[in-house]
Amino acid sequence: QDKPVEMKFAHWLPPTHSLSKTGFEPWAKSVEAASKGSIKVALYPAQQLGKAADHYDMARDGIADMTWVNPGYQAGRFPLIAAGELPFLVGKPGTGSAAIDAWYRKYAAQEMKDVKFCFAHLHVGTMHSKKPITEPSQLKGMKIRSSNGTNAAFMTLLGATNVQVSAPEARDALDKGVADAIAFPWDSIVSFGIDKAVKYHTDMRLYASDFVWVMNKGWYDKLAAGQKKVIDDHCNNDWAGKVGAAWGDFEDGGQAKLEKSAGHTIVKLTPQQLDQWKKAAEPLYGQWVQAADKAGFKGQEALGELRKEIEARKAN
Amino acid sequence: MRRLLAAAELVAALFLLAIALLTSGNVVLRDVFSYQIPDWYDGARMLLGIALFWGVALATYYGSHICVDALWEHLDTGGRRQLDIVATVCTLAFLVPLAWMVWVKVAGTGTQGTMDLRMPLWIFYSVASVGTTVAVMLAIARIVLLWRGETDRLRPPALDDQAEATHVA
Amino acid sequence: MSRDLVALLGFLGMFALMAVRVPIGVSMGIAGVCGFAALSGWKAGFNLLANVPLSVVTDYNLSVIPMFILMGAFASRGGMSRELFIAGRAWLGHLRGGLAMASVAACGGFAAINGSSVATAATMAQVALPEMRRAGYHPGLSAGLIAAGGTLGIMIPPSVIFVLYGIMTETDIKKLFAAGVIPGLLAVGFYFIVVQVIARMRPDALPRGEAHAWRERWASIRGLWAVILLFAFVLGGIYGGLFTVEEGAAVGAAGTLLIGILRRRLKVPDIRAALIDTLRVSSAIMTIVIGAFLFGYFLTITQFTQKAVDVLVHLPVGAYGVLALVMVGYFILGAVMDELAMILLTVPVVFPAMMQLGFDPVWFGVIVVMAVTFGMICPPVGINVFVINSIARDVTLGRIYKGTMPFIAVDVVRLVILCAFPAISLWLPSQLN
Ligand code: NA
Ligand code: NA
Repeated sequence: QDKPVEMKFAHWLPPTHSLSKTGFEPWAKSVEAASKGSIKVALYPAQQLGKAADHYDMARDGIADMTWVNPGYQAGRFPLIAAGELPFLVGKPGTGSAAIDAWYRKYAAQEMKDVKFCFAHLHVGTMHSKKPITEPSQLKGMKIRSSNGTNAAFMTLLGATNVQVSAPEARDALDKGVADAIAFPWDSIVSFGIDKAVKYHTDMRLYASDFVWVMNKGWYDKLAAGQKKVIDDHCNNDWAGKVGAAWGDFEDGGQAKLEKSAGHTIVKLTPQQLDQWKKAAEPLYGQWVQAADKAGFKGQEALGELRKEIEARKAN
Repeated sequence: MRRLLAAAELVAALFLLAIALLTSGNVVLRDVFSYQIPDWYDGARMLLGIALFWGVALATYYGSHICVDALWEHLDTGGRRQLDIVATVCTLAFLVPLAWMVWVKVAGTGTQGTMDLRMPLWIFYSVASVGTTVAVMLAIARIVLLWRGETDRLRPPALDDQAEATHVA
Repeated sequence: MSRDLVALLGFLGMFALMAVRVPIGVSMGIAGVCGFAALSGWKAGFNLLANVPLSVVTDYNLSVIPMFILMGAFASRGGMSRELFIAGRAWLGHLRGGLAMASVAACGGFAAINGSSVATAATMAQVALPEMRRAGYHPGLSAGLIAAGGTLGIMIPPSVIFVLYGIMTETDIKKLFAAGVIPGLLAVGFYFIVVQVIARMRPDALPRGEAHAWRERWASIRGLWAVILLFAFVLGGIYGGLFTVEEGAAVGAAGTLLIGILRRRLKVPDIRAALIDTLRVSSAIMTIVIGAFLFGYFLTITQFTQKAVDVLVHLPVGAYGVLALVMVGYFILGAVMDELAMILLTVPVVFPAMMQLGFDPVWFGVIVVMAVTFGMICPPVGINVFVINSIARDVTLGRIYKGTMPFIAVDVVRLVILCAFPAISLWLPSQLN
C-alpha cells in the first residue's frame, strides 16, 4: 500500500455547477478508486483558494496541487492554446476536446512548463441576444458581454463594444440594457437565468473557450510509482474527451430546452450568412499565427496540425 | 524626504481620480457614441493596484493603518513608542517577503498583456511592486525614527482644517 | 500537527499580533501565511504573497470602495453635507429636539451620496455638532446621536459594507442596495422617536430651536438640488441600465467633482485633499482586505471553515436560535474588534450556514450591516465614537458612549423587527424584476 496523499484540487466554479457533476467529481472518484484510496482528492470550489485568473500560478506555486485553468483569463500568456478559442474552428465539444488535447499535449511542456499538464478540453457557445442576429454587420454599435479575449477581439473587430460584467450579473445587465447580447454556452443561459433577458439565440458555433487541468510538479514527483500511474491514467486523451463530451454535450443540450420553451427563437443562418461570419473571423486566425510565431512556435504549421486533429475526429 | 513622500501620495491619489475619469469617460462614450476607450478596464485595474500599493506603503510609514489600540492606549508615551517599534518590526517581517514575492510575480508575468492593446502587464506590476519595496524602506525608516524618538517626522502631512480622522468604512 | 491545532494556533497568533498593535491586516496576513506554510510548506506559503495581494488590489470589483468614498469626500468638501443640514434645520429646527432631528435627517441624506459610516459620522460631526452645541444641546447626547446617525451611511445605499458582502458571497449588489433603503428609513424614524422621547423627558437637553420662515424653507430645498441629482443619477443609472454598480461608483465620484467645480465650491486644494483623504482611507481598508484573504485561504486548507459551518448548522436550537447566537456573537465581537475584519473573517463561515438553514442571502446582508452598525457605536471600541471624539476633543468618550445608548436600544428593536419581518428588507429588491 502506497503512503496516502491528499490532492488539493482548486477550481472557481460553484460546487453545484454542471462541470462539477460531469467532470471534477467523477474524475476525483475515479482517482480515489483506482488508487484504492491512497490518493484522496479534496475539491476546493468557488475560488476558495484563489481568484479565477490565478489558478495556473496556484498549481505552479503549490497553493493547490491540481487546478482547473482558463488560459484565456490571462491574455497573451498562453498564446498557443488560444487557438482553441478561434471562432468556427471547433463545432463539437467532445471530439473537439479530444482534438485540442491531442494537439496541445506536444506543446504543453513548452508553453506550460512550470506545471505538469494533465489534459485540455473545451466548450462551444454562441450569441444570445434581444433581437435576432443573422449577419456580422448587425453587431456594429452593439454592447456585448463577451466570453474570452479572442471573442472580445472578434466583437471589437465587428465594431461592437465589450461590457465587463460577471456571469451572475449578466442577466441584469441584459435586462437593463447595459448589454445587448451575450456570448455564452447554451445551457448556462438557462442555469444562470439569462433566458429571461434574451429571446434570440443564433444557431452557430461562434466561439469556444478552452481549459486545462494542471498539477504542481513537486506534488506529482513525490508520488509513489503506483500513484503516478493512477494519475497518468487519469491525465490522458481519453479523459479529455470524456470530460469535454460530458460537459459540452450537457451545455449543448440547452439548445433543445430553449427551442421548446415559449418565447424563444433559435435563429437559423443561411450558408451565405455563415460564410460572412467565417470571413469576418479570418483576421483573428492571422493574429493568432503572428502571436504564436512571436512566442517561438511555428504558427502556420501548428494551426495546420490542429485542423488535422479536428478533421480526423470530425469535430468541426 | 517629507516632500518626496507628499509628492508620491499626491500622485497615487491622482491615480484614483484617473480611475473615476477613465471609467465615467468610457460610460459616456459607450452609452452615447457606442465607442469604448481601449483598455479602460485593465487600465483602471492597474491604476488601482498601483495607487493602493503605494498608499499602503505610506500608511505604513505614517502609522495610519487600522490597529487595535486596547493595550497601546494604557501605556505612557515611552511605552507607546516601544510598542510601536515592536509592531513595526512585525510589519517589516511581513513586508520583506511580500516585496520579494511580488517581484517574483512580476518576473513570472511573461507575455501577459492587457485585454485590448496587449500592453505588457509586467510594466504596471513593476510600478506597483516598487510601492511594496518602498514600503519596506519606509518601515525601516519608521523603526529608526521611533527608536530615536523623532515621532514628529512620522505625522502625515495635514490636508486642511477638516479633521483627519476619517478612517475605515 | 493536526489541522485543528494549526487553525487554533493561527487564530491565537493573529490575536497576539493585533494585541501588540501590529496593523490588523498585517496580523491576519502573517498568521495566514505562516499557517498556510505550516500545512503546505514555506514555498506555498510565500507564494500566497506573490499572488494574493496583487490580485486583490487589481480587482476591478473592489474599485467600488475607493470610488464611493471619493464621492463622499467630494460631496462633503463641496458643501453638500452642510446644505442637507441647513434644509433639515429649516424644516425641523423649531420642533422639540429639532436640531437633533435635522442632524439625523442630514445623516440620512448624506448617506445617500456616500458609502461609509465613518465618513458620514465625521462629516456630520463637523457640520451639525457645533450647531447643536451652540443651541445648548447636551454634548454627549448630540455626539451619540451623530455616531448612530453615521451608521446610516452603510445601511442607505451606496454602501461599502454591502459591496464587500456582495463580493464575498456573490450576492447581487443592486439587490443589497435596494434592501437597505427601508431599514435605513426605519432607522431615521426610530431615531426621531428617541429624540422626541428624550426631548420630552429632559427639555433642557434637547431644546427647541427658532422657527424658519417658509421662504427660507423653500430656499433650503432648492439648495439640495445637487444632492438629489447625484443620488437620482447614480442610483437611477445603476438600476436603469446606464452602467454597472462598479461604473456607477466612478461616475458618482466624477459627477460630484464636476458639480463642485461648476459651483465653484471645489478648488484645487479641496480636490487634492479629498483625493489624498480617499487614498488614505482606501489603503487602510484594502490592507485589511488583503490580510483577510490570506487568512481566509489558510482557514480553508485547515478545513476549519467547513467544520465550523457544520457545527453551526447542526446546533440543536433551530434556525432562529442559530441566528440569535450569531447576532450575539457579532455583538460581542463588534464591541471589541474592527468591524471590517470581523465581517471578512466570519462571513465565509456564517453565510453558508445561514443559507443551509434557509435564510435569504439579501436579507442576511441587511442583518450583517446591522451587526456592523452595533460594532461601530458600542463601547469599548466603537470607531464612529472615536472619530467624533477626535473632532470634538472636549466631549469625552464616556459621555459619547452614554449618548449612543438610547440609539443602540432602538437599533436592537429594529434588528428584531427586521428578523421577524424579512419583507421589510426584501420587498423593494423584489420590485426590481
Ligand atoms: Na450610503
Ligand atoms: Na466595535
